[in-house]
Amino acid sequence: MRPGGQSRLCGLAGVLIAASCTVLGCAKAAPIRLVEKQAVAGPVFDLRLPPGFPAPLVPADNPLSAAKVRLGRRLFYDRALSGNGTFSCASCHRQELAFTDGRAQAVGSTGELHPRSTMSLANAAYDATLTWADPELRTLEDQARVPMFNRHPVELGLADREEQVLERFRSDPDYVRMFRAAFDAEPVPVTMDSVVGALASFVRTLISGDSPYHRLVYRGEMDALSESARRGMRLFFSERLGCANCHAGFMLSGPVVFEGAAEIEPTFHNTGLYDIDGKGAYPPGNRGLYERTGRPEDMGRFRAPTLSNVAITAPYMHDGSIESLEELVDFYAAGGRLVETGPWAGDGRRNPYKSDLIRGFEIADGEEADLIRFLESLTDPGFLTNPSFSAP
Amino acid sequence: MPKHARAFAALVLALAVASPLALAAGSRSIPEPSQPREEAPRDPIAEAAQHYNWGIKLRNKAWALEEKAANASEEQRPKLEVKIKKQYKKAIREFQYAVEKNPDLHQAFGSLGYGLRKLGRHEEALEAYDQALALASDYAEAIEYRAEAYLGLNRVDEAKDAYIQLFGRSRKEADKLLEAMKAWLERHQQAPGEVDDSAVEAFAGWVEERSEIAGQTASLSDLPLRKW
Repeated sequence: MRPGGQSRLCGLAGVLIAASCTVLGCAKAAPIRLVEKQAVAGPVFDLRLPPGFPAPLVPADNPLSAAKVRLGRRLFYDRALSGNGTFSCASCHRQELAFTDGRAQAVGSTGELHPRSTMSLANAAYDATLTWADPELRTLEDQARVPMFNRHPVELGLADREEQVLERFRSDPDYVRMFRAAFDAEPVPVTMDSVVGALASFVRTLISGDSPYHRLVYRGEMDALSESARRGMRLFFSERLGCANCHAGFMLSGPVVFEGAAEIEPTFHNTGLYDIDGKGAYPPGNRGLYERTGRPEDMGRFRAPTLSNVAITAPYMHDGSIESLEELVDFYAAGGRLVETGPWAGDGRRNPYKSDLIRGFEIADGEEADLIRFLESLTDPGFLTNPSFSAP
Repeated sequence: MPKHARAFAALVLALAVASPLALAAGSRSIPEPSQPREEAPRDPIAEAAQHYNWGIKLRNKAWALEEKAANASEEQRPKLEVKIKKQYKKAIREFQYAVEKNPDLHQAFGSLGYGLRKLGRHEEALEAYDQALALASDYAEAIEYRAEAYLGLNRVDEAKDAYIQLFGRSRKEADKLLEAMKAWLERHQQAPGEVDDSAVEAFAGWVEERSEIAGQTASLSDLPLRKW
């Protein structure tokens, strides 16, 4: 074969080899599809989420808008949103206390005592369930109706007074304008559904994520915590104390929901607060999940709330029976509570339905102080004074 | 005809026969998208996608060779490294074609940056990543890749900023970057001089603390799977 011919043969071989590899060799590889970035529909309203906080779930039938949030904020602080015109949502959810009220048990608009403590609304948008022990209450819209229409106890007292209350808003030109702006697609904008939708929208914006702890973890401000608080953080997340077994994630709470998350199983825990009959009973009217399910093992099981701003939201537990952070740490260190006298006397530490996660632990005095410094570092001062959340 | 030439000619003949047969075999043996290189679609968007996909295949070949090199003997490694570089160069060319055809293809800019970084062309890699992130600011992989390019240039502060940016939104990428940081520290602690010792020590302290924080805090993807 002449040299030139060999060269042409090599060239042809090269083309054929390339073509064959394309056809034969690459047939083994799975095709790679270029996935175009999908536009994701999200809320129009800018929640200004802190670093580390995902987008909360927003129901499709109640999308967020600035007009809705504005209306919801006004309603939240308006005493016209109670049967007798003396109470507003803010009566029990005070911003300076991270939207709790500082009481062991809430008091309603007619003076009735609620069996349970007001829960903080900070980051409520992310709670897998709402209130202390209702596995079915999953949305802020559904939850808003509870204090509005509850009869036992009466809270805002709107039951049987809906039209009377709505008339207050209908006769106010400012409110009519605000309802129309917020619910422009509705033929009749001023309705109780709109009130609920607006309130839920406002509460959805109450996001607290700028505490020193959050600044350390999510903003990388390495000197955000004092040395004592940093030691306390190590204790909090230690296996010995086990706090993070129930209080975890970006808001140190129980299970959370957010955009894109897989469905989650809500959880409730009996922490050993009571055992009034030696067989696990909690005080009547405050038996937690048991009141929903009737199952003995659900006696005394309540939701683990967020620890965001915990230093501001005393007293603690579902009935506010623990007054301070020191008492709270001592309670968990003991693995429950011994109530020595009174109608609820009993040893909660021996409650047969107590969670396995409540084991008790050894903690030195200095360590307790460090842990409390850490819990104090969960306070977000900006949230407590943010004018966007204050009375308009 | 010499023996080797006869063998060569036989191979060419075999391939000349095999190729049309394979083409004729139908879609079973032809990957989607099915157009051979000579018949690339004219639509620039589709063309860009095709070049990007080819680039990814070449990059994957480089990865396969890297894995082989990691387990290879001292004698075999240099040859494999030459092959790896070759694959990355080819991949870079494809990604460059892709972004020429579609300047909005952030994935191609990201992958271009990756290829450039693997060849030690860190400054060019940064430019590519910057383009990717200008198009898609939350493109976590590009943030991580760019941070590794920063590490390659000993720009540790920028790498740290990227880590914090990733930590709350993509723990997987943040963890990858933390590992890259640890590898950087190991190299610089074993061969000091390139970077000031006190800077290396300070960075080591930061990495240690961030590792602790990462171990303590659950990622968003872990939360729904957690046992409470």
